[in-house]
Amino acid sequence: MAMKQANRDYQPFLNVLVPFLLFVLVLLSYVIGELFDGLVFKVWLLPIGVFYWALFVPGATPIFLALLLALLEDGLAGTPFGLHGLAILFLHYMAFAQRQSLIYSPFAMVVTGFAINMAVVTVAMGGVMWLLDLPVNLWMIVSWVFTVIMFVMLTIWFDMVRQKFMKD
Amino acid sequence: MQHQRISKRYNIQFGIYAFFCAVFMVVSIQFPGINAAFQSFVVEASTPVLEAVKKPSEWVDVVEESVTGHVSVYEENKQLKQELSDKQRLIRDLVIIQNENQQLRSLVNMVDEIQGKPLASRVISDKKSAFSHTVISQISQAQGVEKGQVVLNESGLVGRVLDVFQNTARILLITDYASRIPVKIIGADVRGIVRGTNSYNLELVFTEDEDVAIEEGMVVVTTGIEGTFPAGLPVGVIHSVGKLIYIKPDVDFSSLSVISIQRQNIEGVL
Repeated sequence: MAMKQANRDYQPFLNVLVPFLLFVLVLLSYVIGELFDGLVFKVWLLPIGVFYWALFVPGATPIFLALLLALLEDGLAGTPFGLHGLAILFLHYMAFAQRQSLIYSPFAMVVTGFAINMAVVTVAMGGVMWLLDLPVNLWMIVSWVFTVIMFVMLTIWFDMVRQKFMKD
Repeated sequence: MQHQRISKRYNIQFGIYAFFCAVFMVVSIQFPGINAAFQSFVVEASTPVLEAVKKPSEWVDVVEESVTGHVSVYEENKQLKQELSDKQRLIRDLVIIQNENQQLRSLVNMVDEIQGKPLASRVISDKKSAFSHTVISQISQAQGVEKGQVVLNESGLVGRVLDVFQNTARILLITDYASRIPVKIIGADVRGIVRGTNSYNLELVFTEDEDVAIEEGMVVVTTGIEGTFPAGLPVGVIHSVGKLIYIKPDVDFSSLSVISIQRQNIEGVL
């Protein structure tokens, strides 16, 4: 119910556009990985989209959709199924939990919130890799920094899209 | 400011999905076969997208090659002439050695290590990440490709077939952390095990004789002992000797495009 209420100020088209944008982010991460094969750090855009849209338009970002897209990422990346799923679920939950304090905060606070949540996800994924006896390296920190920078850039664009679909 | 709490329904949904993910992850790690079935579905469904994605990547490569090629064409020409002259000399030596090798093989009635017809296949997706080093190549199930078969390219050993799907196959690269290859170090005359590091290097993790001096530049080839990989396939060159010994693979895994699957009969080997 609360989710529907939060969505009432936006045109219903956003309910279609947001899932499509999130799907594009999954593909884009994959395409970047394919184009720049030598990249040692991971380009991961889905958490940016999920965190932003779950924060500002939660009605268009159901948790099931986030889970499905994360499982698709697992399939494309060849990682154990559920690994990206858990990370994205966590981010979705944190966006929901911190929603009231973050949506009325300055942009810098939103970025900081995302950076902290992503740091937790990065450490947790590092832990899983360590448990699976996979090499854990410092490039994960570079990936985290890159994702936070991309969050700033993509969020500016997402904001423009969101404003466009606000009801008068 | 309107206060909004996380609804009970959302909490339940989150709990169920998180539990589902955790179970799925444990199951897919413990039983890779189940994971492969799901991955097969995703890979099959995304093959047209992967192919479309590969196109711009190829165009970028062509443009890059054309630009860099024009810049250093003179220097490159000089270098190539030198290389050609060296190679011609090597080829002459090789022909002599090949002849001698053939004669000796027929003398001892030696059976060829690599049996079965090779199948050339295009790599349609690279899945190199911190978690795994695999590639997806386009094949047809009817082409006789089976799990465990050896994959080569013009430079040397690429890996082995990990999963065979309807129209694609997943290849486990020798750089994958799960890859273990019995090898022989030519020059040191010692056998060992090489494993992947999920990067572009390999690591020598075990040698039969730890006192043998291993030096940079020594050539590493397969021994063929455990039966999956035939003997004598080039793996790489020792490039760093310290506390750990690293091997630079002969194959350039950053630009893997065409591979050859050796469709040998591996029944009873795996």
